Amino acid sequence: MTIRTLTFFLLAAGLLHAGPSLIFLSPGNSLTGLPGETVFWNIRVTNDADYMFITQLDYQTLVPVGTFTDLFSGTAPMLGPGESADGSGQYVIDPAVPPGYISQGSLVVTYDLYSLDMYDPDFDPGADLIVSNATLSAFAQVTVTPEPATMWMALAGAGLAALGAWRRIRA
Amino acid sequence: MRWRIVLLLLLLTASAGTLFSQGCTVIGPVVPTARSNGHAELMGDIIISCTGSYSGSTDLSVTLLNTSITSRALTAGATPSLEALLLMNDPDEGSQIACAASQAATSTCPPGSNVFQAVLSGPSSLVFRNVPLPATNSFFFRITNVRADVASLPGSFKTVTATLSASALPISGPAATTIGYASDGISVQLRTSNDSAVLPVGGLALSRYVALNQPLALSASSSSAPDGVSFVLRLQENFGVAFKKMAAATAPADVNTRPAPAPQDVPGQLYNTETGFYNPLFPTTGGLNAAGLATQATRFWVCFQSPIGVQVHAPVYQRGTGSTNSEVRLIWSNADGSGLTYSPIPATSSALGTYYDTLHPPYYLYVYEITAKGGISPYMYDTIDLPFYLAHLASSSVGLGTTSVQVGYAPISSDVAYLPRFASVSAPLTVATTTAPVLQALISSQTGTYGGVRTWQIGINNYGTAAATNARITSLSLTQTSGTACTPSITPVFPVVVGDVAVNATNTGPVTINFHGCAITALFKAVIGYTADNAASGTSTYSNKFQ
Repeated sequence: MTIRTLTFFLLAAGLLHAGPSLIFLSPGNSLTGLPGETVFWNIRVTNDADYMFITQLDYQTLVPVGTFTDLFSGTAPMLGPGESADGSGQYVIDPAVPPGYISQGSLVVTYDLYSLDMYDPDFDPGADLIVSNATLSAFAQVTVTPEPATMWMALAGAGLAALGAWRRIRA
Repeated sequence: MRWRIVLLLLLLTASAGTLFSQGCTVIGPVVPTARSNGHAELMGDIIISCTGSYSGSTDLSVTLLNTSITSRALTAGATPSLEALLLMNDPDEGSQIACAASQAATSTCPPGSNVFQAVLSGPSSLVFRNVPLPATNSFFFRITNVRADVASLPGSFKTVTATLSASALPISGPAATTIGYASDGISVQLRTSNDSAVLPVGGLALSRYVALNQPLALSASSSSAPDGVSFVLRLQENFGVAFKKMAAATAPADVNTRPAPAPQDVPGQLYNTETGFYNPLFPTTGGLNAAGLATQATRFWVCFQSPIGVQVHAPVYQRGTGSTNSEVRLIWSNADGSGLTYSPIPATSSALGTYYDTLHPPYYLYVYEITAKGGISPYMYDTIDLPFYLAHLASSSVGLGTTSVQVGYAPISSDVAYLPRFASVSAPLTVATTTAPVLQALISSQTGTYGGVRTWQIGINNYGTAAATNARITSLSLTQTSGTACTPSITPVFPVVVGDVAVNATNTGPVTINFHGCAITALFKAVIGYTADNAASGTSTYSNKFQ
């Protein structure tokens, strides 16, 4: 077996057992909002094998700029192989946080994985449990932006600076 | 005047060998040390000593061999008139007659002119045009107010060299004359609150849940900071003339006023200010009356970045001083430290003498300017100590991580409107590190008889940056979300103590639950409460949990 063939099989094996996935839907993983504004991460979790029960969605950060609420796990169905579920996490930006601050962290999906569907007559949540408290996580962030009026002032300032530079170049 | 007599004697001695022959010799200047990141640093005066009989006039050029000339342009255009001046035979203050470059170009200098203005003739060269040659047998020129872009030179210890040429004078001497050295002009230290030692690596250790100067955190105008000064930022000269006043001046009543600059019109005198040779009585033609004048004293740009909720309150004066004698003053400026006005910032806490910047989140930006008061001295390495207060509440909303500071000369700008101006600042220095445990609860395992008594091992996980002390599970509630209705009963007496939890570790404790009457596929939402002595209390919620 050539190295190329071996690599192909290893890659194929990796793809076949890639595991569940987490992707961000619009507006993506990087949110922006005004102080006091509520913003949302919209995500899609896809299960690739066995039966997945999402138990928690959390935003873990060392630099909080607001409060997170899980709007996903309470409504998520058990996902069979190849099935997906969409859900949201809500983040209320603290009104007292000044614009400019960025909270970076991880959006973490916690799930339990079972070998049988819960509606299978033989389902036993103890015997069929493959893994408990498994996680999917992805980088996420919230940027606190200025009020529009302040933003316009900043843009005006930048414009004046650019105009000054242009005049200097012209001179 | 004694030094001028000495200088003349030196010049005569230097030229004694050629006293009776035609020729000019470049006499190396007293080479000053400049700040290595300066865009417009004053170089030493170049002296050209001539003997012999000449007539007519000459053009005299100065070309920097390794960097650009950044002497201030006093007129507009591609070849502006500069602040650089040529003085003939060091005229006394009262006998200086200045000729603007535009006048020299048209041979319309005032009679008896002995000060001539340069024009920029290339990025690295300037020229004095139509300088009349005196009829005396011995004379000398002094070229002053040459500024150079030292920042663009490579290395940490830099040398600026120049070459001179004249259209109607034979100039001998070295091909390159050193007119300036440059090195890092500032050392920055973070010191303990009593200024007795340097802060340890990593800075101060702060805890999210231990309030620091809380009254100040609640109100920037508070007169109370119970934990006192947090640290001292020390700015120290690496050579004697790195920190400079704007210009010689009559000392003002206090540092809240920048006095009008006094003349610095004694040729060859080392004033050790940002201003060079400056005679405000010169005519306004060609901007001559502003030649040599700096736009501000040495400024310091001090910029903190801290986790959210960790405030940095800055002193408006130097440690142990006040409005009558502080060597620096906190001032308003643009974000890069630039600004043509001198506008002291009033203290937000007059009792503490501190100001709290809320204009540049997530940064705290403070710009200081050397004042016309105080003991800034060219003969010693000046030290400026600035006492800062850190302040935060005891709250889970305080961010974790480092508070850092970058310091440098200001303005950090290439805008030719500012003299002096600089290129860069220091790498970040760590002032403080804020840590805390951050907890979450989880259901680690579930064992026992379905529809009967089961034991859940509840874990407390710490993903923070400090160990949690005496962590406890304080509650567990179950809400059934699927299956035939049943009522589980939870037997333990809370709290269930799981002990100290290290960073990135999980400690567990058992909770016994009787699921009598519950179907095997019944689903529950579990809400687990937790706390620790040094962490915030909270809850973790899990959906879709079987019994």
